[in-house]
Parts: sequence; structure tokens; C-alpha cells
Amino acid sequence: MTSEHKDKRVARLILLISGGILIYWIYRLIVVLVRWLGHFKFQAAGGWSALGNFCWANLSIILVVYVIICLQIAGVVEFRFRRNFLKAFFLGLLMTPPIMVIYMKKTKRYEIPVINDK
Amino acid sequence: MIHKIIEFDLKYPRTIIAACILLTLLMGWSIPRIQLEPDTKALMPQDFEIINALKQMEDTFGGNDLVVVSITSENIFSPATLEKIEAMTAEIEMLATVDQVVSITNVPDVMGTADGFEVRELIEDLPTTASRIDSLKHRIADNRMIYGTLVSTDFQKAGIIAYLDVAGHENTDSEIYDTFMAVKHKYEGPEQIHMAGLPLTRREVSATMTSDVKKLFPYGIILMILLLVFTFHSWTGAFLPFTVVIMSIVFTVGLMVMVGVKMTVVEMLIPVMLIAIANSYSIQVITQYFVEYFNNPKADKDNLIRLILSYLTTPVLLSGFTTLVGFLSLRSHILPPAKNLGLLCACGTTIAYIYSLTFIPAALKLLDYPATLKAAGSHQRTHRFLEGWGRFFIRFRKPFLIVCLLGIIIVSTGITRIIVDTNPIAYWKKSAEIRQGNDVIDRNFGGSSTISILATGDIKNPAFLHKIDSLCIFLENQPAVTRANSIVDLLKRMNQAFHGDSLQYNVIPATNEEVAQYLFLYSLTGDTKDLDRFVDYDYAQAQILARVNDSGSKTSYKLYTDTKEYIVKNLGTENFPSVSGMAPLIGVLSKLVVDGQIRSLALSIVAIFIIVAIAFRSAIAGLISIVPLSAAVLCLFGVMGYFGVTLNMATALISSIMIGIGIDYTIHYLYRFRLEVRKDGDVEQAVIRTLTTSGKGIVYNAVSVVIGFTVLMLSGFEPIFFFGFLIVFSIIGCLFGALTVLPTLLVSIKPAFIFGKRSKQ
Repeated sequence: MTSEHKDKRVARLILLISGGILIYWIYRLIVVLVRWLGHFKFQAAGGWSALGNFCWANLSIILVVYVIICLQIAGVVEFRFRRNFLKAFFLGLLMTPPIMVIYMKKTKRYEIPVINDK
Repeated sequence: MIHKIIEFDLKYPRTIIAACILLTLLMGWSIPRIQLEPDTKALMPQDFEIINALKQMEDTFGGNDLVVVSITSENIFSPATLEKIEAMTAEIEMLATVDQVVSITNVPDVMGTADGFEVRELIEDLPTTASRIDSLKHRIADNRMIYGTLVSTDFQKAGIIAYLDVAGHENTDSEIYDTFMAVKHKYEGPEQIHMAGLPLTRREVSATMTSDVKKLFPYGIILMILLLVFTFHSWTGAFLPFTVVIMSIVFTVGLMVMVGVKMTVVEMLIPVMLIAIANSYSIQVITQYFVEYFNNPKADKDNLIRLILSYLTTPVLLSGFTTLVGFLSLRSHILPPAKNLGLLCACGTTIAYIYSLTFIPAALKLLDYPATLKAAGSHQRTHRFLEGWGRFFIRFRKPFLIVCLLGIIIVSTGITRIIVDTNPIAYWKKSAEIRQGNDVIDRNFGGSSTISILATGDIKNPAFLHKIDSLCIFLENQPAVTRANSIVDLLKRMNQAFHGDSLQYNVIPATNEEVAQYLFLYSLTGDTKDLDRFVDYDYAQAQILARVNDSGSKTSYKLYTDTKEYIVKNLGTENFPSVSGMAPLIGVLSKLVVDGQIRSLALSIVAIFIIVAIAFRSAIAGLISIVPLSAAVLCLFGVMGYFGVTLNMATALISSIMIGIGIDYTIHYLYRFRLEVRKDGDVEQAVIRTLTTSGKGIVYNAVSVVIGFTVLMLSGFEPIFFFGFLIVFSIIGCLFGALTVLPTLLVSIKPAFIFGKRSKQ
């Protein structure tokens, strides 16, 4: 067995264990969310304004999740479609990732790495 | 060893990545169990004399946890206000964690009668006429237990004191806060209501910590991602260092929970500090990878990775080691949170270093080259600027060094103005509601802080009571103490009441029998629970409780030491074995902060000197390396003194952290400069080449650290805000020192470890 095969096999095993842990974490998170939602009365809590307050109170977390999503999608655009990462990332931040993907597909494709020196 | 790691990286990249992910998930397992610790007592070593004394006092006389409520009204004796105070008192009494509530509507007063005296409530019927109000004012003014404690001396404010017993209850601070807030909102207007007390302070610390964790960490991450995106213009350059930082933080925080460390205001800094510091090694690896790729685009990827790791191993290892030493020097600190922070940050940076040499090369091997790349290493504007910078400082090196020296001397004179303050109430701005409430209580009700002294002996013995009385008189003569109360006050009042309220009998009873008789009479008509705060059940131990209205650290420490000195000289420690309370705790804490600061600072400077001296095999190298750092430390403390930034639990950590981070710049510069000088011997060109190669890396690294720490300025805690401000200031100072003072110094003195012995001759 080559070292690459060995590497793949061991990695798969470790990832399987990691996946199990991750699934357990997600399950725990869902349980907490379901419990919380069970107590949460949308109308009684003030409807949309309650949702607005919740978002405002957790704005930093929402923003960081959004930035990470933009980073990952810009990464996909860079590696899969060979487009400019920086442009993709900031377009994603300003115009949301789906619009960015549609726009970026129309831009120039790079087959080899291009030096972007300003 | 390093060679073996590199080969393993290249042979089993997937296994390494999977193992890093698994380790992160396992370490993250415990993070949901993280606990916040808002109590000031937790900042002290738990085996300390003052902590033990505090615990003993709490066990014997009940906790000193109290909440003071102040009611301000045009006329506090109006029926409407008195009814309000009565209703508030009753409502607060309902709380499970409240042991006893005292206000003017229920406080006992000893009244003389034909048979001796009896204990009645101060206000039995609400006074409705001016003469009855005047009479009530006289009775209050004559009673030391009420005047200035439950009613302000100007009769404008009335107080409610709630003594708490939180043993066996959970989440008490939040519950207490909610109840008192509900009472405040219910009864406020037209009267003004202010509140203060340790449980409210602790709850506010908890709330601010939660809000800070929710705010600082995400914004720190966002800033880091933006910085990485701008620096590398590629997903690889942004995502890989980001992953290393997240994995290091998860590892460190998970470890913190696993070893049972609770998160205090100090440990809260760890994740943000790791955001700023942990990415520097991975940034170096990726920068070097891209630079080498540009130099040789057709090179085999495995060889490229081998090459960059062989380049980076020595300087990165040395700078990583010195950073570690900076953090570990905090282990010499006396305070547990500082020790914890030092050790955990050392673990965090070590794991970041390991991930940078394992995870990043493994990921680089598997990932394709990015579509577009920023040519890290050939940024023309920075290049030109650093070139000009180098020429300028070499040409004017002598006047520059003189100006620098003068500047450092002038700024460092501010050190004499440094104020030490560990009072938890100083965590917030002066305009904060909690601080305003505290100020009102301090000004009008003798303060929310206390000093308590344990007296052991025959409490019924008049000679012993005179000793207690003399201690009370001593305490009341101290500027910070507003009122000192003990069982003596009550006995004097009983004696006076027993003798027809004659003022000449407002003295300690003359015999043991009289004392015993008064205490017996009190138990017949009054509630003996009133005595619990001053004497124990057997009358073998008593508590002298003084209220302190200036809880500044310096005043508190002076009060603590003066009281101990008075006891040693005049009373003897066998009868008065311990002095404790919040005020001494704050005072001792400030002393520990200063001592720990000096100890860890000295240790880190000596350790850095030794490491650099060994690495360059020259004591001069060690000396030169600590010059920019020492100058930055002097300027840092000088600025703190001039700007009135206090030395507290957070700001006291800066110097060691700054030295740990700042030394990297000096080491990178020295290494490169030696290399460049030995190439052709042209000093000016060597300075310029060093600045435009390693200097650029140093600038990028410093910018990333500065941006990472800037986020701390969003904190709701003043000490953390100033920690952020000062660390940014000091890193800029270190950067300036490494890129200006260091080259000019090296060129001026031409040390042999750089220029070689022959060149010097």
C-alpha cells in the first residue's frame, strides 16, 4: 500500500470519528434550539420587533457568520471558476454571495496564478 | 527533528489535517461548560491570609454581601415616602437570599423605661406633625447605629440595607439584581432611588463580560479576516491562518475549562489576544510560500514546502520561544488570573506554532495555487518608504539618538504619577449607572465598602470592651472611614437608656454583670438577630465593622496596614487576630498587582537577555535587544502616568505581553541585518536591505497585532479598553524601536556579533 493510500485511509477513519462528534454537537444544538423555540411565543414576544431585537443583540455573531460565508464562497469562486478572489469577496460582502457568484462568472478567468501587485 | 516533521507533513497531509480537526473537536467538547467568575475574591490567591480571614468572618457573622438602597426625597419623613420605604423593605425581605433588611421603618431603637429599657421600632407610627418629625430627627441623630447609616446626615436621604445570605443558592447575583431593579422601577418617582453593593457589581461584571465575549471575539475575527484578505488577496492566505487561529483558540479555551479555570475579567482577554498573536507564524509560512513560488513558479510543490520550512524554522522558533518566555514570565505573578493568562496564552501560541508547521504545509500541499496572488514582498510603495526611512535614520543617527533619549527621559517621568486601582467599581465609566449609585451611597451612607476586624476574648468583660472601643475610635479617625460599629455601641446605648437617657451614661457598663444584664434585657424585648453581626452565640468572638467611603486602592491599603500596625502596637494580635473586608482586599490586591508587575517584568527582561545572548553568542546582543523594549516599557508607564490610566489587573499584564511580542521584531531585524552586513560590508545598503525585506515582514506583523488588539477598545470595561489602547501604543513603540533605534544603535556602536571582530577593528 502506498503512503498516499495509507494517508487517505487513516484520514478517512479520523474524519469519521470527527464527523460523529460533529453530528453529536449539531444534535445538541438542535435540542437547545427546539427547547428555546418551544418557549418562544413569536406574537407574545412582540412579533417582528422581537426578532429585530434578537438580531440587534446578536449582530456581531450574525456579521461574523456572514463574513465567513462570503470568504468561503469567494474561495469556491477562486478555485472552481478561477476568478479574482479579492473582487469576489468584497462583491459578496456588499451584494450578498449569490449575486456575487452570478456577476463573477461573467468576469475574466485565470488559468494560471496572476500576480496582483499594486 | 524538524526535518522529520516536514517529511511527515508531505507524506501524510490528509492525516495531519484530519488529526488537527479531531483535536479541535475534542478540545472544544468542554467549551459549553465554561463558567464566568465575576467575584473580586477570585482574583486573589485562595490561600492568602486576607481571604481566609474574610471566609472566617463570613462563617461567624454572616456574609458581608449587602445591597444598600438610597431613597432621595424632598422630605424623607413625609408619610408617602415613609410608606414607600416600608413597602420596599417588606418586598426585599421576601427574597430568599435576603437574611435581614434594615431601614428606618423597622430598625430597633433602645428606649429607656421605668423598669430599665426596652427595644422598640424607631418609627412605630408615621410622624405627621412638624414637632414629631423634629423629635424623630433628634432620636436618629443620637443613635450611632442609624445616623449616617440609615439616614444621611443632612436628612435628605434614607437608606435600606439588605444583608444577604447566598450560601446554597445558585445564580443569586442575577436574581438579586432583577429583584432590586424591579423594586426600583416600581417605587421610583418622585423619589430618586440609587443602589449599590457587591452582588449588583458582580452581576454587572457578569453582564459586561458576556456582552464583551459576544462582541470582542466576533469583531476580532472579522478584522482578522479582512486583514488577511487584504494582505494575501487569496482564499489560501486568508482561510489557513484564520483556521489556525480558531483551532488555537478552541484548544486554549477548551484546556482552560478542562483544568477548571473560570473566566475572570483577565482570562477574557485570552481569545482576543490569540486572534492578534496566533496568526503571525502562519502568516510567515504563507508569505514565504508565495514569495518562493514567484521566484520559481516551476518548482516542485514538495520542494517548495521543504525550502520555506527550512528557512523559517530558526527565526520563527526563536521568536516563538521568546514570545513564550514573555507569557510564561507571568507565571511568576502572585495573582492566579495573571498566572493562568500567561500559561494559557503560552499554550495557545505553542499550539499555533505547531499547527503552522504541520497543518498549513499539509493544506498547502493539497491545495491548488490561487487564481490571483498579491506579490507579497514587492509592495513598491512600502518598499520606497522603508528605503527612505533607513537612509534618513542613518544620516541623522546621532541627533536622532539624542532626541530619542531625551524623549524617553521626559515621557518616563510620568511613571511617578501612576495610580494603582483594583477597585471593581472602577471597571466602568464614571457616568455608568452602577458607578453613580455607588457614589451616592459612598457620599451619604458611609460607603458600600467595609473593613472588619475580628476580636476574640471575653466579650462581656468591660476591659475588653474598652479595647474594642479604642479600636473603633482609631478607625473613625481614619479619613476613609465614616463609621465604625461594634457591640460596644449597642451596650453604650442600653446603658444610657437604662439610666433615663442621661448622656453621661453613654459609656461602657462598668462590670461584667451589668453587661450580661443588659444583653439579657435586650433578648427579652428585642430580636437577638440584631446582635448576630457583632457577636457570636457564645460571646467569645466579636466583629468590628467599619464603613469605608473611599475604596481607592492606595487608601484601602494604607487603612489596612495602619489598622494592623495599631493593633500590634496597642492591642495585641492575640485578641485581634485578623483584619479583613472588601477595602483591605482591594488594598492588598493592588499591592499584589504592583509586586507581580515588577517581578514578571524583571523576569521577562532577564530571560530575553539570556536567550538572545545565547542565540547570538554575545552579551552585547542581549543588551541591545532589550534596549528598544525597555525604552517602550518606560514610555508605556510614563504615558499611563501622564494620561491618568490606572495600573489595574488588566493593564498590569501589558509590559510582559508587550516584551513577548515586541522582541520578535528585534530578533528578526538582528538576524537579517547580520546576514546583509556580512554580504558586502556596506552598512547603509545593509540597513536598507534589512528594512525592505525583514522590516516589511515586521511592519505587516505589527499591523496585524495592532489591528487584533484594537478590538479590545470596544470593551465595556475601562481596564480592558485601556489595555487595548496601551498594547496598541506599546506595539507601535516596539515597532518604532526595532526599525529606528535598533538600526541607528547598531550602526553607531558596530557590535562584533553583527560586524565580526575584524570589521570592528
